[in-house]
Amino acid sequence: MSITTENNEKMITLMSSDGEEFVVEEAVAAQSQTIKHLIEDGCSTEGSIPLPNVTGRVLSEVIQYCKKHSSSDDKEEKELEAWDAEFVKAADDHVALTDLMMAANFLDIKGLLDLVAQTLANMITGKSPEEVRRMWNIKNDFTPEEAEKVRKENQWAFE
Amino acid sequence: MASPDWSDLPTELLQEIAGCLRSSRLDIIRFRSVCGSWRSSAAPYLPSRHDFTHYITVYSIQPFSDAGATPWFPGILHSDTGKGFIMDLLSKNTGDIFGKETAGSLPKVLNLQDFRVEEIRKVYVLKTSGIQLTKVVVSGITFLTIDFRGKLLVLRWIDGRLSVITIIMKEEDFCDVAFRGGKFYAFTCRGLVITVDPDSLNINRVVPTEKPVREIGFPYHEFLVVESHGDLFSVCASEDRKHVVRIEVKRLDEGQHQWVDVKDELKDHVLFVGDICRFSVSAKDYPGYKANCVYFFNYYGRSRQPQPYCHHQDTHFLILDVEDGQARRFCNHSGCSHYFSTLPTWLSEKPSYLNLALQEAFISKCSLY
Repeated sequence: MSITTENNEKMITLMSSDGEEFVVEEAVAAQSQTIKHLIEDGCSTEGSIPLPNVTGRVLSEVIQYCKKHSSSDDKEEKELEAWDAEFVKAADDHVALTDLMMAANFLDIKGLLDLVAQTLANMITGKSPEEVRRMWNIKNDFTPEEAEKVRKENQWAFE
Repeated sequence: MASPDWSDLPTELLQEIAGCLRSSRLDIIRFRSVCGSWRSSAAPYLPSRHDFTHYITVYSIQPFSDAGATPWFPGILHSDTGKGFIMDLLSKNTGDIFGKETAGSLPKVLNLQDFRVEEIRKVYVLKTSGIQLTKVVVSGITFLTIDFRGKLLVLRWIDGRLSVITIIMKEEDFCDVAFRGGKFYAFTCRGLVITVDPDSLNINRVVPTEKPVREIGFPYHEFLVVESHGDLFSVCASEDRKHVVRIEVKRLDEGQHQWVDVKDELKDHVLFVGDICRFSVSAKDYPGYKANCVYFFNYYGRSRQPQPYCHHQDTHFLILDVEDGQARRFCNHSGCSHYFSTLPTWLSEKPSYLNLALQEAFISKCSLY
């Protein structure tokens, strides 16, 4: 469904996996290459665009990011950086950030993907593999042969 | 909702995260040690194409079992053969590995899985015709260094060679360099501070030359700069003929174009200042060091040689408590030098572990050849 606002901005409706609808300006939604292509293919004319992989909670965060980044120009780079830093801080933990990263990947929003990947990388920097496993709920699934290779890689030999 | 299994994260996303860790050998090794899918998402660490200089990585190492243990700060030179060298950060000469007396007790193998290891900083070293330059900062393919005469050289990696492209402000004798916020900084002991743009090489005077820090009659002083929590601090040690030592710490105030006195601005930070490397850590994260203090190691005083009142191979420390302004001199029996020059007790008290590691190293060597 496409409607037009008083400012002559074309609006489109996005629907999350849990059925929540978001009405946003097309320019905002088009930050996502995936949505942009859907619009170009004419998908937006028949009601809302369904996004089966993204929940309403995550989608609202993504839209917040896209709104900010479509309204800012290059001059405000510093301010935008600060905004990005606050934005990922608000996402709070690695679980929320991972959801955000999955959404950024599915929706193909490169800036957001890079931002979240860097934030997650900063989170695991300095942590031991065991701490990372605990934090991310990951099973140590190395075979004995792999574990031996890992052990060797973790050994620094000195002259 | 059950916790999701994050090892199921799509490979392309794991690759994105690993890509952000690329510059750290340590982080790549740890990333690859988490699980099978993480391991296959990140290639082993390879030095980047700009790794043509030697650099020493300063690490902090603590046992996992004892969070309160005072960390050890070795400098490690990773070589292409896979075997590294542990460097003595106290030495004036980066070619010196530990002295003979301590070499025997150094670990031959360090298992990263047994220790909390963190990278503190990289220290670049340029070698040219037998001379080693240790005051080096790097931005991409451009290097700024101070040669043995105190001249500020700009070098660039061109056609597979590192060549001197210019000498900056030939009339000045520089004593230290730094890299911060995309700019090179260079300092003279008279307080002059300039920045140099690594690409255009444009020079900007940040602090004009002040009067000499020390009048004639003070025959010796050292002036070094260390970055801590985003600021640049100068540490100036001077000594009169009676071996009375004074240390002054100042912060660079770029906006006011001056060095300003420091009272409690180091907050909970500890500065380590030496000829080869200078770094800062938070006393909260690194127990055993006093906050708001400067550890001036490798201090030999005005003769730049070990003093007669200290035994051979003793290491010389000055510790300045910025709050009370008192500088205290230490030799290695005073209980702090072992953090740098020899093994910390928590490591040396584990002979069984070390022997085991040695045997394992031997076994893995046999299987390799």
